[in-house]
Amino acid sequence: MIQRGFVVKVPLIAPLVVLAALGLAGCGQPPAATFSLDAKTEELVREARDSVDKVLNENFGTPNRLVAWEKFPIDYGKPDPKAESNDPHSHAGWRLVEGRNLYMTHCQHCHGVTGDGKGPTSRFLNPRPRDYRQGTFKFKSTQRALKPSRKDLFHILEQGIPGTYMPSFVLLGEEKLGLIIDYVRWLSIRGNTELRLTSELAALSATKKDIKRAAVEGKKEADVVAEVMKSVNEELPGQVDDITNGLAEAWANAELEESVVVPKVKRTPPTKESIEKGRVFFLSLNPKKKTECAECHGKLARGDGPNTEKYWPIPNSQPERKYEVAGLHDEWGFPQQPRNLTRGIYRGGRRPIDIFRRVHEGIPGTQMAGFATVLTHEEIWDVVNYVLSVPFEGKHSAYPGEVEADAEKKVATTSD
Amino acid sequence: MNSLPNDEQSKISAQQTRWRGSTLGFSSVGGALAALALITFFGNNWADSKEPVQVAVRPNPSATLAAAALTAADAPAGVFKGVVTFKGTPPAPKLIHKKGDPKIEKPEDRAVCAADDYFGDEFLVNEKAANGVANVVIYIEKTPAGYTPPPVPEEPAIFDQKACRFIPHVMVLRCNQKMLIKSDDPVVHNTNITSLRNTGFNQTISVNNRDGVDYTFKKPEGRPVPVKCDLHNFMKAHLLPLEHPLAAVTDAEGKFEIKGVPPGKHTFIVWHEMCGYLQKKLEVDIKADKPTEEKLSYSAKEFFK
Repeated sequence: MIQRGFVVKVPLIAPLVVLAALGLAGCGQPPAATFSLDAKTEELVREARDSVDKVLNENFGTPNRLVAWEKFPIDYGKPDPKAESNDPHSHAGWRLVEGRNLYMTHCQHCHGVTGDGKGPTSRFLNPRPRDYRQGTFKFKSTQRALKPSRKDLFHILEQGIPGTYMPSFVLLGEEKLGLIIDYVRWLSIRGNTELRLTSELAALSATKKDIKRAAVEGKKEADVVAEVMKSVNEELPGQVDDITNGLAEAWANAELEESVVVPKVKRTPPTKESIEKGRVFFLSLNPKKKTECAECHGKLARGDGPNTEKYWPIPNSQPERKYEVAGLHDEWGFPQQPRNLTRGIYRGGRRPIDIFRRVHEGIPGTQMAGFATVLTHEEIWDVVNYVLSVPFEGKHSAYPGEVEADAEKKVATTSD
Repeated sequence: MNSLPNDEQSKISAQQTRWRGSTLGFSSVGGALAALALITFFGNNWADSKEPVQVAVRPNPSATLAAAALTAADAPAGVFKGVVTFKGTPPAPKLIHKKGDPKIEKPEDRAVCAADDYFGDEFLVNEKAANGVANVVIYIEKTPAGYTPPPVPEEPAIFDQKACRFIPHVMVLRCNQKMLIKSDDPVVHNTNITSLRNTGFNQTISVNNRDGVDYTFKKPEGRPVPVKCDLHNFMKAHLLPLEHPLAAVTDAEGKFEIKGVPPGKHTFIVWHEMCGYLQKKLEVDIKADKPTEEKLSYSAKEFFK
């Protein structure tokens, strides 16, 4: 059992051995799990790629030889003085190991061993499992630019993400979820360190493409590499410190009380007046407080606004290129749809406070902007009340015949 | 990893998967079933070996900051100026949208964004000024050793929006300098800043917001970071926050001037949004007594690589 120790052995299963002997089991015993490098890291010239790999190995280890760097605000598990020496709890870092084991059992098939969202199941899923390495998490209580708190991640594991393949893991119990959460935070820090470091090295012309280009200009390839690696080696230690210190601070800050978005006023009861006000904001009918929600979500809130039919530029493409598929894309480059609000499925949670936070801060990693700069907290509550009333428009309305009896008709008369 | 007894574990995953299937509706049932099959196949021990897992705790010694004993030397400051031009015949400007273009579907947007023909701001070559190229950034990436930057200006950097364009299109500012994002348009915009070392920003800017919304870059960036508006997909800009003021953006004639550069050898970066680095290492020896001038000229090959 996992609680008793982290030296886990799998008994050899006789039929497998037989199959292997017959040459039928191509896979046999699985190989040791490994963290994989990002495609961008693989694009670096071999020497630079190896130095990134080395940094990751030294500071984070491998899935079977974890390194728990105390710099990060992660509860790795203190040794229990009462535990016997063969009890894993007698060693420091036991929480990380148990989190890892649970992650490998319950999470990696979608999110991947590395936490890159590329587990074996991922290619069959839409939406794709989250890639943690950017450190961007969509559904959280903290301000947009900040990391999610432990509580936010707990909420997601407990509730799942409705409308996606992410199930609830509530049956694992609070303690195990806590172990998984710390491991996921650690994986995110590890992955973020890699991506950031690679992008810094790419800026030092350490990609294979850069080296080739220099070689075309008549320089000797070995000389170019030596020159690039000189600056890489000079820069690397400072960059590792900068990046890891920044990440340690960012994940610690997410736990602070002031990081959480808290409404200044209590929720307005969902009266017909409040719903109507929210509808006016949603449809951008107030000339001083335009929101253009309908540009993406559509006038009938079906998630089919005109922006879903436009071709959007790929960020950071030089010179600019456009996505091949029309419609919005997330920061991971996957097509995405603005939420169809008539269905009453809210990925980040259906509590009014969840929707308040989505409107206040927007959704990180997506084109959903925050509206705290346009609407007051009272006005955001009106929008929340409207959004929550959308699935029940028409004959199911709480105020039948009074509010929005015929949404389509009203939209037609009030705009364009 | 068979940490849980096999049957107990498959029970859990089956329950979860069933629950998942029910929330997804009919269209996803097939997918959910496939996922169930794969999860039960891979979930138990795929990619995990029987090798015991070890962990090493690495202490974090209190970081000793190298005390950077920089003294503000009252050294005479040099001036670096010059012009960036396009070598050869520049390509004809590409029309993004013409006046009153029906491509912009919303009438109110059309009235503001397509009040005139718009050729985009990303590649501006001024044929009247010997093919000077606007919006090229010339900067030193890291604060030169021994140079103490002047204090961060108290007045905010203004980042405005007018006729569905970001103004300026490319801006250099200091880290920790307040930036005010304004709008002079009767249509709403959102300002979406993606950045590498700083936390991003994506908030909606109210119509005609002349007071502005605050945003401060805390860290320097190595390259200008892109800014876009998600309501108008042709709107874009670049911002470069730096620790020092040793940077400039070329004007409409391709001219630039950087004042207060400490004399001596420096490596500048020449950047343009069409290609990223126009020149990664521009070695310049800054003189103390007279302005150092450079005429930089790049061809289509360098701009459109």
